[in-house]
Order: sequence, then C-alpha cells, then structure tokens
Amino acid sequence: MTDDTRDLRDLDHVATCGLVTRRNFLAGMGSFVAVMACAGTGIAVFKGGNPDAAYAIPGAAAGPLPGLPRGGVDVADRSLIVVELGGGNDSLSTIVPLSGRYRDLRPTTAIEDPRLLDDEIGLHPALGTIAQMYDAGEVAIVEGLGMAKADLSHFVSMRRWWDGAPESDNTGWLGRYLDASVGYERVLAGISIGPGPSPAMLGRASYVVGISDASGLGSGIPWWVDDPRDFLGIWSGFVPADVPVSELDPVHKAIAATASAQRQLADGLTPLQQTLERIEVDAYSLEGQLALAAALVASDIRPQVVYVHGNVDFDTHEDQVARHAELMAQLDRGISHARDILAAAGAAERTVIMTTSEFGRRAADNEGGTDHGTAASHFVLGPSVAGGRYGESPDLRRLDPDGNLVHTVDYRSLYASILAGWLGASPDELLRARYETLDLFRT
Amino acid sequence: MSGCWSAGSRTIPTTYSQRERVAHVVRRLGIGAHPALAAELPDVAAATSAMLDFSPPQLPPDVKAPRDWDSIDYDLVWQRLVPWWMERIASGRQPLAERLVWFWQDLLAVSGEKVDNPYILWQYHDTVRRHALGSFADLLHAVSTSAAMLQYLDGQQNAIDAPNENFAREVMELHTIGLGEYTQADVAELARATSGWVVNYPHPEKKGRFEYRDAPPWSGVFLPDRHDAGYKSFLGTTDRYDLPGAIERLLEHPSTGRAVAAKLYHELVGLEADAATAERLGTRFARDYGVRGLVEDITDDPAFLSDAAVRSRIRSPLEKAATVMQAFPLRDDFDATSLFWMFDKLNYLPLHPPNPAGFPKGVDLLDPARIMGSFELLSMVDDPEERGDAPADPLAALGLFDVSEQTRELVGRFTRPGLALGLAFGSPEFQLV
Repeated sequence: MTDDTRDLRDLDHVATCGLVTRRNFLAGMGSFVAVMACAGTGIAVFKGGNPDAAYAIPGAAAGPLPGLPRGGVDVADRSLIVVELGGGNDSLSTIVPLSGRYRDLRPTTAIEDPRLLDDEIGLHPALGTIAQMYDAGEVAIVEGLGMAKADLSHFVSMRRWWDGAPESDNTGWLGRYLDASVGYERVLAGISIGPGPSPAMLGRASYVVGISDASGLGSGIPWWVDDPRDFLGIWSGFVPADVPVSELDPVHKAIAATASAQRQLADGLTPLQQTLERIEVDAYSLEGQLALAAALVASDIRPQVVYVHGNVDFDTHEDQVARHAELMAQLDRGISHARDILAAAGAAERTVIMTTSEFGRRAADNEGGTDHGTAASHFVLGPSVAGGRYGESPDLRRLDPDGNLVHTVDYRSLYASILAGWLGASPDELLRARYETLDLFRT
Repeated sequence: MSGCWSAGSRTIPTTYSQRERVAHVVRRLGIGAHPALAAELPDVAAATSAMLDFSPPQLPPDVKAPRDWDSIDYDLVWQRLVPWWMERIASGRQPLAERLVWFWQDLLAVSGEKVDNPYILWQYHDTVRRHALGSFADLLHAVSTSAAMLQYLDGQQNAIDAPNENFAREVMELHTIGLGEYTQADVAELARATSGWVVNYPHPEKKGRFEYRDAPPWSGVFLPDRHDAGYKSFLGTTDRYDLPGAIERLLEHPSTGRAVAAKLYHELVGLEADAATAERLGTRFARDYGVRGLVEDITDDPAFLSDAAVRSRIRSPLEKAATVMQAFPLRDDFDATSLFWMFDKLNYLPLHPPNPAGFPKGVDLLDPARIMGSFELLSMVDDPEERGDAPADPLAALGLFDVSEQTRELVGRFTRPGLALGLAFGSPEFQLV
C-alpha cells in the first residue's frame, strides 16, 4: 500500500500538451511554438531529472523571438527570488545620494562613509557583497520606484505591492504569474519562506507552499498517530488512483499536493541541510531565509519563484543608524550566501534576486529615525542582470507637500520588467494594465 | 465553492442519512461537530430547533480599562479573552451565538496585526457579542465608531485637511453594498463624511487623564473641528453627511441587505445564494436588520437541508480545532500559550485575520502548509490508546457518518487507535463542513 511513488504519481505524469499550452501566456510566438512542438512530437512526459525539460521551447535556438528575452538561459529554467524588506526600507540609507541636500535632510541619520558607485550615489557601508557585484556589472539599481496617490499605511502599501494590480481580488502578482505559467501542474513551483504564504504568491489556479525553514513542510503529526513518513504514504491513499490530479476536486487535489510537496521537500532539502548548516546562520533571519531560498533554487526542487518575507523589521522610526546597519549587514550576508550557493551549483546564471518593500521613508529624518514615506530604490541582482542604474533618482529638492520623495517610476514597471524580461510572461495581462518596461537583463 | 464535484465526486456520497443530516445542521449552526449534542437529536427538525437558540450571547469577563499606556495588559487577549472564547465555542452552550460572533467578526474584520492594543481588541469583541444576535444596523454603527475600527482602517487619521479613504472604501466593499455599487467619487465623498473621529488615548502630559475627559477611555470620539461638515454627494444623494448619517444611508441602500444576507447564507448553507434568493432574503432583512429573522429565513430555505448543502464548504482551522476539542478531553498541559502557537502556525489566529476581508475561506484554506500544519491540532489531546478511551469509530467521533467506501476502508484498515484517528482527521470528508 505505501508504494513510495504513489503520491507523486499524478504530479509526475501531467506534463502533457495541456501543460505546455497552458503556458500560452508566453509572449507572441512563444505559445505558438510550444503548441506546434507538442503537435509535432506527441506528448512530452517528464519523469525524474529536470521536470522543466518539458517546457523547452524548440524555436528558441533558432534566434531571438520577438517579445521573448534573448538571454543564454532558457526561460523555463529561470528562477526568481524576491526579498521583501518588510516595514519600509529606508532606501536613502541603502542607496545613498552623495548630494549636500541629502546631508541637510538627514542631520541625525546620514550615512557617513558610503561605498561609492559613481559620483552621485554610494551604497551603505555594510553592503560589501552587493557593491562588489555592482562593480562586476551584476546589479541593477532601479531608482524612484513608487506609485501615484501613495498611502503611508503599511497595510495599504503592502497590499498594493503584493497585488500589483488594482482590484486584484486577493491575488498577488506572482500568484497570477504561477496561475498562467504552471497552474496546478507543479506543486513546488512557488515557495514562500516566512510566516505563511506571502499574499504576493496567492493565485486562483496554482499552489503556493509556505515553509518557515529547511524542515520544509515539517509535520505536526503527533507521535502517537504514526511515523510521519509512513503516515503520509497511507494518507495519500485517499486520493483515487485512477483520476488525473487536474480532474480531482479541490480537497483530493489538496491531499495529493500536500503529500507530494511534503515528500519532495523532505527529499530535496535533506541534501541541503549540510550546506545550510555549514553557513551557520539563524534559519529565521533574513540571511538564513535567503540562503534557504538559494539552496532551493539550486536543488532538484527548482521552484520558479521563491518569496522571502516576514522575519525582519525595516520600520526604523527610531535608533535607525544602528538598526538599519544591522539590517543591511543581514541583507548583504544573505546575498553573499545566496551567491555562493547558486554559484557552487552552477545555478547563478538562471537565478535573479530582487528586493521589494512597501515604501521608502520620509526624506527628512526625525531625531535618529525616519517616518513612513513613499518612493524608494531597489536592487535586481544576478549574473544575468545588465548591471547599472535605471529609472531616475527622486529630486531631493522637490518633495511633495508632506515632505516625501516624488516617485519617478511606477513600482509595477519593475514587475513588468521582471515578468517580461526574465520570466517571459505577458505583464499587461498579469498586471491588468500596461507599464513601461526597463531592459534589466543581458541580451 | 459549490457542492458540485468533478471526477472525484464518486468518492464522496451525495445522499445522506438522518444522522449525517443532523450532524450537518450542528456543523453549520454551531462551530465544530458537537458530538454530545448531536447524539441527542433524533432528526433535522429537532436539530434545527435545538440549535436556533437566540438568547443573548454571553459576554466576556469584565476588564478594567488601562489607566495609561504603561498599564496595558499585553496578555489580555491571549491569556484571557481567547481561551475563554475558545472554551465557549467548545462547550456547546449557545453554539449559534458563537457561529454568529465569528461571522460578524469576520465580516467587520479588524486585526491585531495592526490594532496592537489588547484592550481595544477586547472592547471590539465585546461589542460584536452584544449585537451578534440583535440588529446588524446597531452592530455596524457600533463597530464603525469603535476604537478598533478607527485604528484598523485609519479612521483616526481621516480629517478635513487630510482625508483618508481606507474605511470609506472597505465599509462599502466589504461591510455593506459590495463592489460595483459605488464609484471612486463615492469613496472620496464618504471619506469626507466619516472624517473627524479619533481614539481617546491617555493624555500625553497629564498623568492618569485621557485626552477627552467626557468620553470613555480608549473609545472613539467625534471632533467637530476635524470633521468636514460640507455637503457631500454620496450614492446619488446630497447632504451634510457625517459618519452615522452615511452609515444610515448605506443601510437604506438595497444592496446592503442583499449583500449581507448572501454572505450569511453562504456561511450557513454553504452554497451561493442565487439572485432571487438574495433579493428575497435581503429585502426582508433590510426592514429592521434583525439577525434572528435572517437566520430563520435562511434555515427555512429548502437549500439549507439539501444534499447539495451537506459538506459543501471547506472546514476552517477553527472548525477543525473546535471539533477536536469537543470530541476529546484536552491534554493536561495544554494551555493558552499552546493554543496561541497552534493557531499561529496555521496563520489563523483569532482576532488576527490577514486583511480587512477577514480570514481565508474556501479553497484558499487548502494550501499544503495549512493542511499539513493542521494535523498538529490533534496534539491538543493525548494518545487515545494511552488514554484508554479510543473511539470505536474515529470517523463518528469527529462527527462524520456517511463517508465514501474508500474512506471507511482506509480508516478501518488500521487497528492502532492513533493511526485510525489521524486518518479520520486527514480524510477528505473531514476537510469539509
């Protein structure tokens, strides 16, 4: 009965034409080519190895397709790690303007010795790894991100950053991406690391699996019920053997997915434990989460999107200089671990890391801290990124009536650029509006 | 979601015995399965009439308002209020009241994630209880001017010179008329109308005093100077609306009765109300917004006892927890802190919903981490084998009677009581109410 492959069965077998055509969100010819390939070669079924192989788009080798990114890594092999700097990161202390105006606005919190990137900006001194990557051309800094009618509430702003679309019916921008790309076909295509699944990852027709550490889905199964592994094998017996997962009702589908995700995570994470232990970081810190995110991407689990959130507080109303320095150090160490883990696995080229935050902070500081603000700058990192500065830094001499920075780039332009340029998706559909895209990736 | 299953349907029965129907009535009008209660109810008529107890909900033990910021008891919610409340839910006394308290609190949600003052959360819960079986109109007025709502949806920041639209938008979208019934201009006008309310906090300088001496501490206070007293064109009428006036206008709007009735219909029946049903229920409800009348109208609807209604909703973590608490004695060392961690792990902390729309519902509850994590609810109780009172039929112990052959076979295959109970808890049928 406890046939080991039992609960993986359907999820391993579903990569048929249906799956490929479901990726018709691929811009323009992408979907056409995928459908044609399916018609020509019959059904592609993957088993073991890299499940994403079934996504390969044969036309890609023939040269750049209109609307598709032309990078060296196949779209289907790419992963995105999003790092949410929750609480509102003070980006003026992260990507530091060198102007005198900045020092006037920040009498108590100005960064004294930024790492200079050019004659206009520098990085927080704790961001050594990111500075090094910037010099190597692997970091895009997108400046002036924000929104019209910004709201200074954490809740409202977070919700907007998560949703990325007006009236989004409680789906997130990445959830809608997963709906359109993998649907229900791969249970671990989207993994959220933090307290529960990030709302940014919630879709209507895909899974998001939330984990808090390298124990994966763990198991709260009491000792007196059974050994968890045996129990899950028996439990997955509730799923009818002869019905494809896509045709199951939501409850049976959830049981199949949960048993499968639990086991895949347990199997996939076991070899990573050593790597993660060697780093010796607190699993619940931002750097621990980032290391785990990278390890997951580097593993056979190969999620398309990993979302790191929830375990840090960037809401630095007071004692900012010391607190923010520690947060920056954590972020930098996390990026450093991630870079090393990805490089060791040969996965650096196919992975992009980006930061988000619900808002930046007020231009002028306030007795050693900063209040909620509006526009902010963010990082997009990885060897596939075309390094440099994008967008436009907000003018520190032209603040809005509340003393906030005026945004120069809609935050959804960043999303659109990632969706189109890295994930090969159609941003207009997923964001439900058209935003300017930036060419953030190497061509 | 409806009761319409696709290919998996043959694994779940679609007609039900009297026992399962009684269990259905109990599951829907209470929270959990209340096995002791259900066992004494011979048929659905007896079950419905026993469950329709409209006596006023028990109020939480009285708590003194903190004198200042320093005397706030941060354990109040988790060490006192929630354990008391969960005990009420588990006990089977006034199960309908507990169902309605949960429903209204989810409809008019505030969250301790933002409202981080436990006394204000306690007040809010107390307010919901006072009106849970009374009048929705009174409830909406009371909650809209509560400190909790003023904090949660930023009403306290909404002033004539700095309008904040947060409450205005949510009160229409979620609490009353619903999406599609208003424009952005209505939101802006309603924001003006509801401006001027703040929370009465401790006085920053005068120790032991509050900012507004005439108002109760930590309550909502209306400040005419902060209020925009001009004319507002709101939902097609123009008047000098203030917050109570605007709430009245929303209560008069035909969509409010319909929208709220349809939501309670979904909660109790588990199916979407069709347009005619929503219209009929909503029109009657809007006459006086009496909760009792609406509950009776919904339970009188033939759909309530229909086959399609049985097990047509996803069982929430709260409903799972309540079922376990009702079926077995709790572990000796299970305390308020264990309760907190258990719900925290499931991202389902009472009084801490993730957003103004309340807790996740329906298929959103089926995310793998939550399903996996919910097994931990079983650790509220001891090993049934060791306890020596292992249920002969673990499915029945959890209030499940008509299950698929496959479920009965799989659960029955294992003689170890713990394993059988774990499987009954993990069965497809238990994921539904």
